[in-house]
Amino acid sequence: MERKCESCNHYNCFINKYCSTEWKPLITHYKTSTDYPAGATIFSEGNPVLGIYQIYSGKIKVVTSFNGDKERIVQLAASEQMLGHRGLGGNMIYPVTAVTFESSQVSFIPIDVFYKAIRANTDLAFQMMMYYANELKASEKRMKMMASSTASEKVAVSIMTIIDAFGFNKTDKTLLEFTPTRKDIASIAGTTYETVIRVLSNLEKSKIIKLEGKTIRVLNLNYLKTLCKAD
Amino acid sequence: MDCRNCPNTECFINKYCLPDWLDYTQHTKISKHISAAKSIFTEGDLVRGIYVMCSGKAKVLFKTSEGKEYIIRIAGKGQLLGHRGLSEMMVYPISAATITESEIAFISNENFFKLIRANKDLAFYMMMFFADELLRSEQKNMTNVLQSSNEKVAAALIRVINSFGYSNKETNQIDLGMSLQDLANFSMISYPALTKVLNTLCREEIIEKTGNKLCVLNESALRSLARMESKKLI
Repeated sequence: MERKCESCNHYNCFINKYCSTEWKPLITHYKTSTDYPAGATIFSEGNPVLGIYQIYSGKIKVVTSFNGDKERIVQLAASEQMLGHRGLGGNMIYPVTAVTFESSQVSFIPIDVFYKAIRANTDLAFQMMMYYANELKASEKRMKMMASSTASEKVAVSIMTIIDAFGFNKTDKTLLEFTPTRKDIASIAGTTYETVIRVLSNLEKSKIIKLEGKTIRVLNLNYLKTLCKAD
Repeated sequence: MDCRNCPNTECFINKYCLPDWLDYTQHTKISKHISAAKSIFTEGDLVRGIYVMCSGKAKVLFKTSEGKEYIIRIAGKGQLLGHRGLSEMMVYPISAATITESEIAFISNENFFKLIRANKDLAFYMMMFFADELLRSEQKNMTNVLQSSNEKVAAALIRVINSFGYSNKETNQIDLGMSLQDLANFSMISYPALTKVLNTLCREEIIEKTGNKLCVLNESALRSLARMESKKLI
């Protein structure tokens, strides 16, 4: 479905927030919107970078593969967030793959249009820089964590990552809005499926979380946070 | 050095700022001459601005709780230092120290942000710079586990060449500046392992080693060795 940037109510979207009113119709003109079903690949590792993606709706994981078959989730993204920015720089080849968790609508902005928008909108350029700076910091923090944390800390950090990305259910405020599969949680935490199962059941025993089928309910958010800060 | 008339055309401030803003930078920057092996800023310090290497060489490092030093980046003349502090937290996550005697210009956050907003080329450059750093950081961490020692050393040498260049263009002598111990830290391998790899590279006639001097005989071979492991991730 075609949506116009100039009349969009996604106020946290970078384009909406930091582009001038003259630029929004231009973005609308050049962007293409695609509806992806759940489990669809938006772009793959090794593909050339042709533009940047902006998520209108849905939930997406960004993964990188290593050792042939293992994968690690480097980012969770939802509505109003950017996708594919990890492809900029270097030799303009995606180092990551983006896959939808659920059906998602994603807009694509061609790279030359995005570059022009950056040059024309200083706010956008500035905020993009700060965005990358924060991503760099988050990424390095995650790497440090991977090297030093215990399994429970890793899983706790993963749950917090999921909360930061997707939040809680709007009516049931302790239930996660979206819980990735246990295998995906293992990929976020950088640990194994078996470890995730074990840690989750330990966390449930100590009444920090409650497992309701596939989904997770957080009973003690503060404790979860302190687990994350342990390093 | 005077920004209005700086001989360093590789400096990103010089390259991407308008003349009026170079003048502004000249008036507002704080220049420091720092001797070799001195701290520039330390992990945990409050971020007050960014540093530009006018001359000399510096390393960016962090120490593990066991006191082991990891060099994560090196910066030569005209390059930026301290950008890892720019983020919401505004505290340095790493430390920086000079390798050789250096002239360093300090630009306060306030003035740097002004520069970025007024010079769109600089803003664009900074965005791409961070994109590159993010890519490199993730790549390095992912590949570190999988890389062989030869690949690690080749990758480190290529980064040194990219940052510092050659001190002698005819013999392709790497402007190393740092000790072999530092090079080992930067390659994330032990000193004995580094010596072994350097000997192998000499035997394969990729580099030539005389004392602490390293000359590159076959740069494309070195580059392809460095890239081998990260082909998948680049």
